[in-house]
Amino acid sequence: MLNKIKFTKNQEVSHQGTSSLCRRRAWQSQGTKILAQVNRVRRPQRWDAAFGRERIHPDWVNLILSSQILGDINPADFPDDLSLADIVTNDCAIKWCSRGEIVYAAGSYQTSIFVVLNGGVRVSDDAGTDHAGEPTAMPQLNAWLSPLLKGKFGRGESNVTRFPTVRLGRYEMFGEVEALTRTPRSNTAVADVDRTALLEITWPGARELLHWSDTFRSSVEELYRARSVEVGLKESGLFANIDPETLVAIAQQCSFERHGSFDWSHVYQRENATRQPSAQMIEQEPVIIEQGHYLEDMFLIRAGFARVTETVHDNESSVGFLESGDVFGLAEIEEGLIFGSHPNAERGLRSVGYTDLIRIPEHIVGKFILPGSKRRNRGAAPAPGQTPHGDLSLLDFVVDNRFINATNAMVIDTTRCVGCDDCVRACAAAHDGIPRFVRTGRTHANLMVTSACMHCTDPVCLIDCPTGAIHRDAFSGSVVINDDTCIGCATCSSACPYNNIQMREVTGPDGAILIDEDGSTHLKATKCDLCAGQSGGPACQRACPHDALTRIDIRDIDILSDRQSRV
Amino acid sequence: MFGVARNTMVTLGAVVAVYWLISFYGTALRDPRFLDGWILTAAMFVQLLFHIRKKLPASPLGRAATWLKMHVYLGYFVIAVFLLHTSFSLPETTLEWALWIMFALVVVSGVVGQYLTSSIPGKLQQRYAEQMTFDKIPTARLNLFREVNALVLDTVTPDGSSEVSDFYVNRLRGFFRRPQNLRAHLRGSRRPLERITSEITDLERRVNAPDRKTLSSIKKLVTAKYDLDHQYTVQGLLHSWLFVHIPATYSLIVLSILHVAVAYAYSSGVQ
Repeated sequence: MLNKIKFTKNQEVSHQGTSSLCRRRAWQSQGTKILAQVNRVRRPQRWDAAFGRERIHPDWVNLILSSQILGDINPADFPDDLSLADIVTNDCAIKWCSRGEIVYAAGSYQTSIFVVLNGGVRVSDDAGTDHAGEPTAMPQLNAWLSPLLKGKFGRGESNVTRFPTVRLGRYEMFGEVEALTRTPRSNTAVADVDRTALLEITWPGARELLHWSDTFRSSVEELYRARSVEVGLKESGLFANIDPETLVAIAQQCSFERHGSFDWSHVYQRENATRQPSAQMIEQEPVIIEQGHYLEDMFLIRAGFARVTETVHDNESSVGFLESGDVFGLAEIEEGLIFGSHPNAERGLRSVGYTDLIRIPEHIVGKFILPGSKRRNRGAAPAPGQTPHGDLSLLDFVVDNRFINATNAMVIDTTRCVGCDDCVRACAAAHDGIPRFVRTGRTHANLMVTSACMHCTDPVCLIDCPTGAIHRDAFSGSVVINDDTCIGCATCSSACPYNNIQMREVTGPDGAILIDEDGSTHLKATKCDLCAGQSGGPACQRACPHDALTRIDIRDIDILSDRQSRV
Repeated sequence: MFGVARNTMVTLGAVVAVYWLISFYGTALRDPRFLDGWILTAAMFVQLLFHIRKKLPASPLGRAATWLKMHVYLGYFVIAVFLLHTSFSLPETTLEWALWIMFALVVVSGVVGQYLTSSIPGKLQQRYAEQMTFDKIPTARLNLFREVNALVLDTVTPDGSSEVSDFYVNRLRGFFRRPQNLRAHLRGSRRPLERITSEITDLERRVNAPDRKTLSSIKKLVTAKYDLDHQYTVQGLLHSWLFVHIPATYSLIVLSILHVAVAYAYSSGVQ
């Protein structure tokens, strides 16, 4: 601790560019005063606070472990300091629901996996309809109104019967698709009978089970693949007028594929450290299909991102990117069916990070999709002379730096920014005097994407958090940190591909730094929280007098392009 | 463009309305200077609110960008009302002169500031792919200084020539230690850089191959330092106009209060 503080102060001295002995002594004296104020307290540990309101009773834990609730899971697979019983006790909760009570609402960001212990659950079959899919204000409204509706209108009868539903019974698992892909709920789950008991496995618990138990992992993966195809086809809207039985038959003919890896951030960090040119980055990305190759299926992107490339004179460059819900190859298959020829991919497709996709066979496309299809098809070849996103260098910048992941990036127009730092001051004023971003970042032309949390579509920072302290707000989807459960392990900070999470020393109520019994400082992860809980939205954006700073969903690259060309 | 046209029209409309109101007020045998004086005071108070908004950066008082737009257009309105208030004539008393000069200072610094903030960032962006943050420039300058020092020290060997180190001590040390050529940077001139680089080129002809390599590296560092100084000067200019605008504003407020008190103390009673 002593060394650390002295080191920090000396570092500052060297940054100031002075070697004045007096000043250095003043710093050291100040450091000593700070040391005199430190409080020694025990560092918070994982499972200090159980996930549920109270820990699961040992009888329930024994029941869960002795039955087939979690499948053929073997307690011996788990290490001694992370036993299966401990995981169930601390990272799971028993959720009791009465008939009609909403377990989770479509569009909400919630990453637990559920297993029915008793009673039953109805999962709405409304994916791809107006009731599901993109996050809206509805999940919040549903959740708020749920207790009212339950009491006033037949105990939530309407929630059970309003939409076509699929019933899940005892020991059936649900919610694994969104837990694995970190996407909003695609359907609504409602308790079917009174005293329905659910085992809620939080993401940290589920992650440990997936990591240590091969049987659990394979059963979840199998379920994920099977359901992902059906849910993906429904959500895509490509089969909007197809009856459920036919859709099940179609789903059986489609296949699921994963390219790249869920753990893409560490690979990207390695690549990014060397700041390779675009062409080199493209080469390292897994190929889904090469330009000119036979295209036997249409691809529907289920999760993650893919880069559409074009190869001219052996130079492969980006011409677009695809995200969840986009399709690739529709135009080629359509052309092939019209002219009776074999469709070849007019462009290449590579996985950016990871890409989950559904292969839809050519004959299904011809029979069910092409008639009357008005589906967007950003991967298909555009009209001659046009490109899907206009400025290709901007596209390269966005894809190479993985900014396509950003739903709320802080973008500064450098032709307007005068460096007044009002944004930094506003951020500090909104967060107890400590700003949560640095006004530097990668630049393309006049656009700078600053080092502020971008609230990613796929927030890899929360995958390995041991306590689930970093999570997505259930309603807005923004990535936030619960200070009460953050144990300062820095896992999120090192996982963030953009280095947008900082570790800060924790001070007590009297302003003194907290240190552990072994002398190390208590740290907490901090990052932009979009000024959650404050009226008016992000303070940085409101404080910019020159309209230089905006928060942008970079997935809509046209907005970025407009911002770039703004006069 | 639509926004600019709309805001300009609204400002002009407000000026015409005030002019009409003053004329109407005068026909009632009242002293219109009290009316336009109070309009001016009220408008100046609203102008001051922008400063308060800036002091409360995280407050939910609307977007600062909207406030700035209002500040600029209201500023033009204030100039027009000031001219009406003074009847387009020069002041007579010492207090009025002080008030007039301070008002002019606030207006000129504001207009200059507006020009600088709208023109400099674009020019900087065109010239530099990646700009240095103003507060990081001293650290970057120090790093360049250390880098060039290390390069020169490497050339000093017991049997080696001292031409590079002599040139460095006599010609470059001061250049690397602190910001230089501020006036040239304000003019946008690269003449001082060309002069130094041509001197290095001359020296390159007289030294051995390893020193020539060192000089080539030094030349790159000289260019980097010159660009750093340019950024420092121009970004400094972006901040410096506020050191005139804000103190002058505070002085103007004090003098205005004094002016109101004096005006009422010596008024004829017809307001």
